[in-house]
Amino acid sequence: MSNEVRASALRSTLNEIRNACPDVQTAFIFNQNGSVSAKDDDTQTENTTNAANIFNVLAERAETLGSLKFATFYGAQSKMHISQFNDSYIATVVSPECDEKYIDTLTQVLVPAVLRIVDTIDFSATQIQAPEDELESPSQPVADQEEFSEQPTIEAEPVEPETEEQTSEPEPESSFPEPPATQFMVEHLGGLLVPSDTVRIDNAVILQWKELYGEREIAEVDLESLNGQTTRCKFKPIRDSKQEGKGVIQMPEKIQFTLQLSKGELVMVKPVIDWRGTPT
Amino acid sequence: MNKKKHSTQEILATSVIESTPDETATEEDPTLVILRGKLEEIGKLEGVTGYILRNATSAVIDLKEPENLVSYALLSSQAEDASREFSDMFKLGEIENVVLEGEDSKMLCANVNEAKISVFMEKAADHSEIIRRISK
Repeated sequence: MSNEVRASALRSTLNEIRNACPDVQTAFIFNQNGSVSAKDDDTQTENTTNAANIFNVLAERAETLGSLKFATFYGAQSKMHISQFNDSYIATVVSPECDEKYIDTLTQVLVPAVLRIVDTIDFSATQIQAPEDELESPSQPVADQEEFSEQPTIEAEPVEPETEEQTSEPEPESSFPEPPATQFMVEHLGGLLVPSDTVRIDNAVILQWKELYGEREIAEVDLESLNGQTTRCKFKPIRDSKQEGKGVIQMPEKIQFTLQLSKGELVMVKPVIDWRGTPT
Repeated sequence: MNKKKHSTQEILATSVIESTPDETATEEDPTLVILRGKLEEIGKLEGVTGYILRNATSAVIDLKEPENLVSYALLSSQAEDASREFSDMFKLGEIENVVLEGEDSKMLCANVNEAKISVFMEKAADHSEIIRRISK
């Protein structure tokens, strides 16, 4: 999931850069090994792959200048700018009259910032979900187990068996794990018959919640955007089977507005557990 | 076979200059003469470490570090190839200038008519000023 989220976040960022600055004709990111990690939706994959390979050969040759940091190709019709960040390069093709400083700000600040955020969220999500993994039954879907096996995990404190003294005044939810937070990418949900207070979530995640909490009723979810905006709303499983397993949440415009989110952005989702009637 | 020999002779005609550019290589090409005059002035600018000026038949090279000649020449050629490929892929049009900036130094490549110029400089040098001087 980590790489998918990364690639998706980068692709969205590149598309947004193009939206924000129409002078940007092409934007893509590639690694020093020649693989393209993200590109805007309108750029051909073949071109980006070839360009990455050509540039990497040039970068090797340019060792005489020290490690290559920037390259600009000034053409009569457009100019191409390539700059290094971390172990990657970001390439943009812009019109000649485009403000270079503005583009540099967009690419060299925004893209690394998005990457940092994605990495931070991904790590946080892993931290939240790690203890839950240990409590899950072996019937947990294989895909999910693989998903977390590559992530760094923080060991949960060993759960000691509860004695009678310790459980003299039990909290209703003490025998259940903390509700897990799951990260989703926002997809727009629209239409005349779409309720404005209901999001649609991957059915596998809903089933996972049901496995964790058994008979407890889960009728609502808490949503939290990256900028800290929160709301509570109802949820239903995603209807479109093509969208299942993609880590997306389908969200009506009203909720997007409340959370100050738009399509392609990330949101944390937590089930709201109804603890009433929990056996003691 | 004859053609191959001719090609070898052309390469041998290339002159390597460390401090005073060789005039014989360029006396028949007025464009090169003008450009060489400009490059001599550019070479005096702070941070500029040398240049390579070449056309199809000859070259003028003035480098403060002549031991870098081969790597600089190969880099110029590679930059030219890359710019041609990028121009085709992304419709950049005719490439006028290329700037490569490394951790230690940078290179400016410029095309003026049939002549190709590569200017090498320290990282802090103002390549925009050099572009301006070449194209004026």
